[in-house]
Amino acid sequence: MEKTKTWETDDGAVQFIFTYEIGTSSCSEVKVVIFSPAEPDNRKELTLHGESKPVSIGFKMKSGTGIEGDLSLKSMSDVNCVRCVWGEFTYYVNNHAEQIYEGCMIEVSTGGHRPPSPPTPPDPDPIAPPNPYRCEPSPTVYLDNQASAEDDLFPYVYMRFWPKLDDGVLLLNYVQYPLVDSASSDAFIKELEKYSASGDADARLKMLALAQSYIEGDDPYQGLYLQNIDSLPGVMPQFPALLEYVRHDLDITIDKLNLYIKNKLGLTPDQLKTFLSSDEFDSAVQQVWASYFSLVIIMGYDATNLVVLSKELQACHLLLQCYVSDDQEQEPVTTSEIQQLAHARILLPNTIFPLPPVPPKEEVERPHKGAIEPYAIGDLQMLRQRFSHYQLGDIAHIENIMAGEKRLVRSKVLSQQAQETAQEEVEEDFSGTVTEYQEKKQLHELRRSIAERTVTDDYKDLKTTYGQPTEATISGTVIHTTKAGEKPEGRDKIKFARDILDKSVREISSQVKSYRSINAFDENERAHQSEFDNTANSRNRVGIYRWLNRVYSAYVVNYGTRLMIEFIVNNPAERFIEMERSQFGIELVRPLTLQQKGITNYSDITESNYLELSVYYKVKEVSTYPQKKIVVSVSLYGGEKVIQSIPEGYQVTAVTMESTVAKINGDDSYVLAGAHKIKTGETVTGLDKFGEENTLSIVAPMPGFSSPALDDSSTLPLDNSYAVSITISCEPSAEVITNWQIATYNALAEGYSREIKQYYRLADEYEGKYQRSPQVNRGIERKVLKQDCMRLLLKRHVDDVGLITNEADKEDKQPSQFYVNQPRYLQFFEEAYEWREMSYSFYSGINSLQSGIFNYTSGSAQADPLFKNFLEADVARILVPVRPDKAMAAIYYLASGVIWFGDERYVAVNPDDAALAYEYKKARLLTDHDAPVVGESWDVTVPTTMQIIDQDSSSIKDLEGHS
Amino acid sequence: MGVKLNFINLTNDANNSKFVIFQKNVATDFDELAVAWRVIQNCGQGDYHPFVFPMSMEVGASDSWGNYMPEQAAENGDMFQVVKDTSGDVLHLASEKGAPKEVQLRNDLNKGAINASIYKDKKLLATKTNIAPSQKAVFQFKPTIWIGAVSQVEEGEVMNSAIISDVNTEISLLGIASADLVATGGGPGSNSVPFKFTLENVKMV
Repeated sequence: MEKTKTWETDDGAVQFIFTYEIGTSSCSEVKVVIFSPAEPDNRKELTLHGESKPVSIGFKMKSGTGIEGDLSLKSMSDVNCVRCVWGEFTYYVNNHAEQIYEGCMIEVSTGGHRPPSPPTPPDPDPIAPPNPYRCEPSPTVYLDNQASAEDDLFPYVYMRFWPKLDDGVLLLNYVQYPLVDSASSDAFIKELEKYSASGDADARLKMLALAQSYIEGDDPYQGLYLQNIDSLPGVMPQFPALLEYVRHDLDITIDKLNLYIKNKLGLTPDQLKTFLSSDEFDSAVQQVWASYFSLVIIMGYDATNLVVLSKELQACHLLLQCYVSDDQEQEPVTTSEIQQLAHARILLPNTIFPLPPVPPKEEVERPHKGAIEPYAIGDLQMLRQRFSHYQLGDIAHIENIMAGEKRLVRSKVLSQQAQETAQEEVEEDFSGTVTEYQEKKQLHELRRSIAERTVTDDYKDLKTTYGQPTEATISGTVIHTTKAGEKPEGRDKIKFARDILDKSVREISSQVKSYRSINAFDENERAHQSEFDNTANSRNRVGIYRWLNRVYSAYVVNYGTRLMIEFIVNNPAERFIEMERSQFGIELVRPLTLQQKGITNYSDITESNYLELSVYYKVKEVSTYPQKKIVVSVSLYGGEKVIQSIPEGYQVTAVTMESTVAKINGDDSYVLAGAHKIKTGETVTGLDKFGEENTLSIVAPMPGFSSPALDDSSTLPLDNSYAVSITISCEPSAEVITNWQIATYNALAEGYSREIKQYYRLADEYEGKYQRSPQVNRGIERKVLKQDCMRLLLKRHVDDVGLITNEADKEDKQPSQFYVNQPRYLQFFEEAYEWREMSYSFYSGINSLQSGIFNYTSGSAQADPLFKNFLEADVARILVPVRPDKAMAAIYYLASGVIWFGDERYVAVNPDDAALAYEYKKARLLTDHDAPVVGESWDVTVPTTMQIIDQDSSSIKDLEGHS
Repeated sequence: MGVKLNFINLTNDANNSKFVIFQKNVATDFDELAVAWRVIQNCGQGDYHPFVFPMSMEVGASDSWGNYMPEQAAENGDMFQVVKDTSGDVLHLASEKGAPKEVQLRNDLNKGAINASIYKDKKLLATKTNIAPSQKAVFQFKPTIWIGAVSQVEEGEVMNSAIISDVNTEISLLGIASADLVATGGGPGSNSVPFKFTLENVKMV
């Protein structure tokens, strides 16, 4: 939108009209029209551009009114592009009364942003500040650039996706099998297609074996593999050179190509067309294809020959398109088309490629779950920043000094940090102090020494007499003889003493070392003293401290076109959490509550679960489940009765009686137990029948007490006595079980309480020791995600190729082919992907709340919400750009699981990737390499903790504005 | 907040010339004479004279009885009035507003003319005399000052038209936070050139 402002001189003799655009993204120019109201048609028009040099406005009118001088634009503020039109001119009316004008005429605000100008150093202000200080942020840049180091902030990518290709594009950009329609397929290729379509589990292995036998010339493929293209018919051996010629001549035309063919190949276009249409050429092309396919399948067999065959096929494609066309009316091939044809990549046929994957073996551990796909082709742009300058921020602190006041301010900050970990390590064979150890060792050695020597005392004329009175007569001498003991002497006592001493020294020195290594003490003291002396002044004084802001200049740099690969990783933090636990050796898992373990009250404690629970809560003082059954037996003679005591807490559930006689008084022998009559060999069971606690009364009837049949000597002993044995079975009462459950429940509850306290203590220790900065957390995230992506890439290889292990290798216990190749693949991933530019995002579902490292109570997770996202994420989505020189190899790998060995320019394209590869190639051509910086830079202000005395008040001034 | 100016005498003048600074009242129908707002005198070669041109101003009035009423702070858009209350003639801010870019002072006395004055930094900037009852004085100033080397001028006095016509340099203060106001030229002899006043070390707001 256009805006107009007018201005006139003091006497109105000369008028100015200023016109400029507002609402533009940058500071626009200002158009100026100068005229005199006396002569409105006589105008001078000029344009002011940015902050360029002043524009001269020399202008004289017929009436004698004139103006001489300059106009320019001066910046007032970067924001909204506020500038002023600055005039320095002299004007006059009727050739006299010259007037001079200098200064800003109008303010111009166009709403755009002005590129940042270099900061100007502060000028000493000779003017004493007239007014009391006004609190207002100063936009003035007054500190020099001290550094201009550039830092990458973060990348971002403008994405574009690829549409499906039409036939015309495919024809120009890809060499498609079979090139020649009329040719009969090669037997080798037919065999490959047959295997590929078979769907057999071992199809891939068969194809590999077939390709190997083709290359090696096994029957029936003797001599078919092209080791040298010189054996090709006609001018075909010269095709690769022709291709190179076309590629290097960017102005190639069909006429130039004709000339080259005539000079180098000795053929006219018609002759070449005839050759290209011949059966000989067709079969030769088939042979080239077959050799090419065999080398692609056995990747790495002969990379040089692979390139030569690629060129041969590309040249054949070029010539066929240029000289043999179905459409007779077709227009001559253009330079652009010839170049496209010359750079066309080989598109592998979908009847063979990618090779069928090897079916997974159950016993093989598949690395990680997730997904990996080419995501988009994007312009990788990096946001960068460069330190620009410092800027005054808001007021941080104001120091007021009254008139006549003298103040001394001392501030002292002392921070101390002490860390001490006492650790006692006791060896198993030594559980005391060093002195004790020494004594024990000495005693042991002495015993051994004594055992090695025998001392004999030989007395001569030794007589003793015992009795009343006791006398003892000792005369002669006593001879002590030392003899060798049973064990050979040879122990060196000095050595023993030295050993003891060494041991003691070792013990002491090792303890000292231990304490030295774990004591740490940091002390930091900062003292600051300020003295304000206003005694000599009769006015109040004010000192203003301002925060200091760092100002960065931010801008976007285009890194060029990149293929972006998208990785989806499940549970990205899972491995990290495991690693953390094992690394720090702490099992920081919050113990489950009793409720979470299914124990809502004491009645849930059962014989089957109490042991598992006591182990989980590490409870030792739990008592075992009450014995299920107690058997008490008692013997009685006839006529006896007994009140049998029952174990406390138990109830009688069954009573069995056996008797020495079958009958008593003619009846079957019996006893009375409780209220029941129990016969010989009978067992009465049931809690309802007994249930006695504490005691059970048992009576054995007296013989002849109730029976008249005393003559039955066969059943009664001669002394009329008999004996019975009663077995009483008891089971614990419900009260006992309940008491046990309550006691166990209480023990488990105490155990849980101990465990949860231990958990919090360890968690606190962990937080204190291992709290990390957000930067470190970002590093961890990137490292873990990169490893996950590498695993996914390796998975692609394993899925497609399988973990091939030869039988011979198995016998020799050799590592599998996969493990041998793994470093090579990892190196390829390192080189092909720009891991530094990785960008990622985390997604978490409801399940994530139950997982986690420390239940996220505090620590790193709370201090760094981004890291919490990582820890809780169910899925991570990672975008990684591929290096431009490895893009086609990366695409090939993702489709086939095999690294392409050889020149990037000759990487073949799998059928499903044709559109992607073409779009990438197109995007690369469009990339503007000369303009890495995108758009204009802008300033970013970052507050710091630094303070500075406001320059305007560097000498503290009084409230009235007098210094 | 005002514009910090630092007058620096780099002239060759040997006559101890005075330098006058004043503003012209735009809102006037006739050629009203300007007042010498600030006169810099005895400023030798190489000397400098810092001063502030404040954005704020004060308005004052005096009646025909010779009473001077205390100055009151004024802003563009303010309307003042002189009325007669129980104590006598007083100056105060009227309830209604004036034109946005002007300061107005109305004579609401029944009888007797008044004189209206505008002050900046306690110094008289402009004045209008003999304002009859029901009439008003209108003051409007462009953000420019006039500066020139003169003689026979006293600070706060109305300058005669001859002197005013000698002052031909208009300096715009629009958007300026501080600047040096450098005087050059002058001097004796045949090489003498007119005085010239330029802005240097300009710092914009």
